[in-house]
Amino acid sequence: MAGRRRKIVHDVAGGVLGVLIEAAVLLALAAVAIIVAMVVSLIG
Amino acid sequence: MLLRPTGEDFQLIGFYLGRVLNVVALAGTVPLAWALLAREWAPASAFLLMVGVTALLGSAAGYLKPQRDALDWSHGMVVVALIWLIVPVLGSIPLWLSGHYGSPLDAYFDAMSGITTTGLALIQDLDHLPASMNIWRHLLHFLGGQGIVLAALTFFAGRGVLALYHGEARDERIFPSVASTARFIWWVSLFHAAVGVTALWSVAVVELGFRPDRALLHALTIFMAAFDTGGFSPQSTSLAYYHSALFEIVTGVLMLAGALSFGLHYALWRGPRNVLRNLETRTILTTFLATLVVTIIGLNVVGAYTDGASLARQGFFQLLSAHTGTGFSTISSLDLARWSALAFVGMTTAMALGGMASSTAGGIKALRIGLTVRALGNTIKEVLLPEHSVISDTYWQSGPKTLTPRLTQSVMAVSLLYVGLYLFGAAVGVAYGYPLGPMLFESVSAAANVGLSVGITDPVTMPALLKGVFILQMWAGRLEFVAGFALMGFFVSWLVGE
Repeated sequence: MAGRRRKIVHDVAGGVLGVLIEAAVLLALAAVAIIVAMVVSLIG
Repeated sequence: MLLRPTGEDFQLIGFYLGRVLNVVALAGTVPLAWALLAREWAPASAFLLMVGVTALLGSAAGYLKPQRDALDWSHGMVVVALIWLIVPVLGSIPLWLSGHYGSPLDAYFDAMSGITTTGLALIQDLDHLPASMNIWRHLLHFLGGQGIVLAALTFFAGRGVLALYHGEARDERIFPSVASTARFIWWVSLFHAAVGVTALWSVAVVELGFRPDRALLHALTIFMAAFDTGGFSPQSTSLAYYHSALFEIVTGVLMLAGALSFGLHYALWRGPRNVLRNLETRTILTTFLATLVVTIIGLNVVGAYTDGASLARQGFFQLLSAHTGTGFSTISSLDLARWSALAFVGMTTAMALGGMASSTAGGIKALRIGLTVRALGNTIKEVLLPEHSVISDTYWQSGPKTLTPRLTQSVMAVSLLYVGLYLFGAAVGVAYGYPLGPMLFESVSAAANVGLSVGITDPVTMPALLKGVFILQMWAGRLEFVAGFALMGFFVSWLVGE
């Protein structure tokens, strides 16, 4: 029972970590977009 | 010599078709229940008809009872190819009866667009569609994104179901058995559903001031369209309707999650070691950044947006939508059509490349692009390096793998077929007098199951033949050709076999 509960906690924690990583990747890509847009605007 | 299929072959195929149809009938009870609760009586009767017809066909097929129950490879492929043609027919019944479509062909187009997670739509007066009908359109995305057959595999498993799994363009088994892999895919989806729907509902209620029940409808539909990289929306203006950066960010995370392979989700759940080492991850990051730079430069050339923030926000979101194969947009089709040719090059390339293999996204897929580039690199090295040089043919994808000539051949063949499919739709459109650039954009959008439109997909002006070509493109692109060829082979054997 305790082992099963630990597994569920582990799986949910893994899922939350996964979503947080996805959010971090999206924000990093968005940051790149902002930098590119700034540079392009300055040059253009 | 081709062998003509026997009665037993038809029995076996029909039996499995019936099993999947029963699951589709079960899915149809969701919008039926919604319609009854919301007192939408006309849609409720339409859903009842669809569920009845589907369940009747499914149950009737159950009486076929084939002698052997194990599917071989070709039977599995034929079942998958047929189910992806038949389910949109049944799914289009309530759509057609809603009165929001100009013809049954338009309703079938939208059902196929829904199930293949494309998102191109021929619906008219979308903003006044009953809520239950919107749930059904988006549930088609969810069924298709999960894989209709995969969804059914959760309920039944047996010998030979591996062929069904592969037929739906899933070639990655996370766990040793198909059934446990199917269950894991459901867990990932349900987890994202819980997180995504809660986040979208909260933004809709708190920031946008929606009523809780209305917010639930929008959160559910946008989640299904985003995570399954579909692109349908409950409003005709797509995500521009919400005018909210926060809503776009939450949707963006879900779109990205949908374009990641379920194998990568597993790796992220277990701790993200070696994820960046994967050839597919590296490829998609490279192609995303490259097409992003091209698109933003292209937008700047024509001065589409005066300030850097708007340039970055609009350029980034549309490109994310294109590369993940979702098809949401925060600008109108007319505004999109005014983008420069260079921005179109960036967007069309991103759509053509698509997301990761074994994800809910369409397109050629990052792994194939990575392997093609690796194979080309090795060929160039062979020419340039001294004769007896040893060239490594290994790559990392959830472990060390070898790039064999057979793998290279199959990767290049499928990539070439995609390019052919993109050009085929564009050629038909050009023959009807559409300009090449926008037509190529729209054709790639259909065949790569994206759903972005520059206005060519229109219920009134679009020729019926072109609608038919787009339906074929969506179907062939989603199944990655193999199941389609198996179906063609089956019919040829039936006609000319001995």
